[in-house]
Amino acid sequence: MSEYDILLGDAGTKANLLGNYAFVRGMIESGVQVATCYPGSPTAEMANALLEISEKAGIYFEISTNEKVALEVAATSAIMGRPSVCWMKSVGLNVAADSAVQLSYLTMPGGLVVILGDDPGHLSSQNEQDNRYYARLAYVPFIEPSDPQEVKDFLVTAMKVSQKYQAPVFIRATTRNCHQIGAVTFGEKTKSQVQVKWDNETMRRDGGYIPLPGTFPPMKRKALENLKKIGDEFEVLGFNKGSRIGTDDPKIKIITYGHTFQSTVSALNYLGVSAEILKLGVTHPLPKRAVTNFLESNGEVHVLEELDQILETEIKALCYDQGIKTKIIGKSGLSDELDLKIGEYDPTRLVNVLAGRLGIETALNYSESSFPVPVRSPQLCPGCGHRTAFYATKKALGKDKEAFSMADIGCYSLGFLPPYNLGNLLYCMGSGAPAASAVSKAFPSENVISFVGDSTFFHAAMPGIVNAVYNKHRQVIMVMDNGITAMTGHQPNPNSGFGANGPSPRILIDDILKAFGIRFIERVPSYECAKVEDALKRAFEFTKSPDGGVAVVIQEEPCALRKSRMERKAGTLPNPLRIDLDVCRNIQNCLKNFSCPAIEKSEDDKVFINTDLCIGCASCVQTCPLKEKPMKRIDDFKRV
Amino acid sequence: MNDSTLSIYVSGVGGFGIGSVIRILSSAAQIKGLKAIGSETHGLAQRGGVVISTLQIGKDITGSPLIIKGSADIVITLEPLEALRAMPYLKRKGVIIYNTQKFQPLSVRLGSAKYPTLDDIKAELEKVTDRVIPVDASLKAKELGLSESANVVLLGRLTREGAVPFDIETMRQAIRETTPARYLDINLKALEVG
Repeated sequence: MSEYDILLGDAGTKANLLGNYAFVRGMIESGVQVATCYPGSPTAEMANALLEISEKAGIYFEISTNEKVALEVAATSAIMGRPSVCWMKSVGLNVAADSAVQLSYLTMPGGLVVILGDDPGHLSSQNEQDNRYYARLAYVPFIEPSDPQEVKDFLVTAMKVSQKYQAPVFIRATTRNCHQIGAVTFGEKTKSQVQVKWDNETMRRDGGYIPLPGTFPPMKRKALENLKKIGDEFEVLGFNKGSRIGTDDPKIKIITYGHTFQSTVSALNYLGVSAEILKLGVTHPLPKRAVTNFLESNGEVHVLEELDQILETEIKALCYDQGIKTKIIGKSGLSDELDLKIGEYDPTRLVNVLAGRLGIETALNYSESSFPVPVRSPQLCPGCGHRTAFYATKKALGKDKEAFSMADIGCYSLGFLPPYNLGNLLYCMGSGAPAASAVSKAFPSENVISFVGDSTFFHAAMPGIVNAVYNKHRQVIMVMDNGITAMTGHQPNPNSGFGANGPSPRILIDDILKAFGIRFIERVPSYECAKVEDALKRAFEFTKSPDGGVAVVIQEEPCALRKSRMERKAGTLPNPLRIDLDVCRNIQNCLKNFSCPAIEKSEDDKVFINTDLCIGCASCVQTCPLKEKPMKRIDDFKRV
Repeated sequence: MNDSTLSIYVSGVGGFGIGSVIRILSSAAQIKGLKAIGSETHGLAQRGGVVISTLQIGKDITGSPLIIKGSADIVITLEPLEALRAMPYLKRKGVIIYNTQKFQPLSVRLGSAKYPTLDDIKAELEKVTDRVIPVDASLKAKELGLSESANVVLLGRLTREGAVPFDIETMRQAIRETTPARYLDINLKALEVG
């Protein structure tokens, strides 16, 4: 019995679901046979649900090595006639883009829906890119749900439309769609009527699957025709809805979509302002009929859209084409144009925006603390092996040399924060080693290091590492091996020894690096600072030796959060430590330079250990310079 | 947000049971035939950062589950500094309840910021409302044998204060529906001691 079993329920079941679980229910109702992803916020919880119930749901589910691979597996399944869904975080589409832009040229009888986890407000991504551009680049229709019921319903309809036109559909799932909880009424589960087929006849249908100079133009024509047909179909499927807020005559007309629609309703209710709203469920292609009907009168219409002014621009173009004189107010040309392009449109913000546009004075009524509230940034968990490795790295690199360390994507990106300040340039997954290569060319006498996690290693880091070997760059690569994709909630990766479908051969990073021709590869236990430091020092020496080049130090320790949770459950979590103040000389190195969250500072400026946080790993002990260590395990502690 | 909607803002440090608060209250709403919509924080912030959840309960809820500044009827925070950070969301005359167990942020531990005193936090919050309720919930939870049930201790106190539209029996039922069997007894006790 799994907590996700409710997603398998019969039609008519009502449940309060997180948006991500509503997506999974949508897959089950659509008769999806193949589901693939690479985990990433805000879509990660879909994987967690399917890891437990995919078999019962009759869905083949895999966590692929990266988004491009995931998309290729799902799209090809759709081509074979199997209903398929693939999802990824916003920036994951950059990785998958090479294949994503090809999708619309190919005939996909099974149906393919791609869920794009956009992140306006950059709550958990390296940017807040607006993936609506990709829909335009790839000629793929783009639909935008708001609440969890719509999340489920839109996915089901998108799959039907995708199967009808044998063409892909994108669904946008912003953080607020994915992490919103709301009531969902389940619909019927359907079985796919599409035959699974791939043979010498189907491989040539509709111009085939190989775009050549001669065959490409008709493929593109088909993509453009499908886009138009699907757009027309969406217009009559009820995706776009008009609504009234308030009972008075509308004071404002608004076009919006997705969670921004919900924020708009909240803001209007708060302000007590009546409005007429057109909520779009499809934003590409622009639903011209629905928009034109809404615009047909003079006056003003406000377009409320997060991030870039894509709808605004297209609606303005539509007005020009149709000779409509309505004034369109979005972002463009406004005094706060730049601000409006940054961050999400939450209800508080829209109260301000709408109050400003309606000439309502100081609408919000709240107080802030009169003294500063200390920042609380995310940090590596208590007992995290990355922390001990960073502590040792800092020593091995030497004073004020942090700039020569390059970051990558994962929990270890947090090494950037004080007191470590390690990993100081970051583009995206796999960018650490190439960045370090360039640094080593510019500063040949410096020790240069890049960090990479195990999941990132398989996802995108290998080409950069091969490049470093091939082009004879000098750098140390530190592999942060915790055996799991930790940051997104502990999904397995090729280094885990298991996958979405049970045990899997563990693909050893050491063996791969050896095959790349790297001659310095050492695996060290992260918790042992002296060993990590020693290995690093020798690795730096190696990079500078005449026949050196790339050296690798693999620091190994299972994810402390995952391990401590399992130990807590099993009752085997080691007792926490305490500081013996008779021994402690208050040097505070453990607090200031190691900085495990469990080590805190008392009001009289003494160090103490928070026993609620301490997982008993004892790795802080080695950071104390005293011969007799003041950190002592509490013998008679009862974990509660 | 309609007048009949109850807005609840829940915050704290990642990993301390904020999700369960939402699940229990949402379940209580369903038992009473009320609708509930909410929002959660997942991802990187859960690694010791600030985590925020929101819940809106009512007969007929429209709009976003997110809460407009100055309009949370109830603020529940599992850490005192986070109570102060949540202050802008608290409605005038609203209720704010918080666990007094501190978890020092990095900035405080490294000495670049000062953790305000519990008295200062309380005085600051009292500028917005006279219904400021600090509770040593972690201590009470530990006495029961499960530090994670501090969140339920706070819910028990809220119920006793009459701040939520649920009686104690409804809350008990909501806890039964949402708590794994092995923690059920302790959570039911936590509700009582709150």
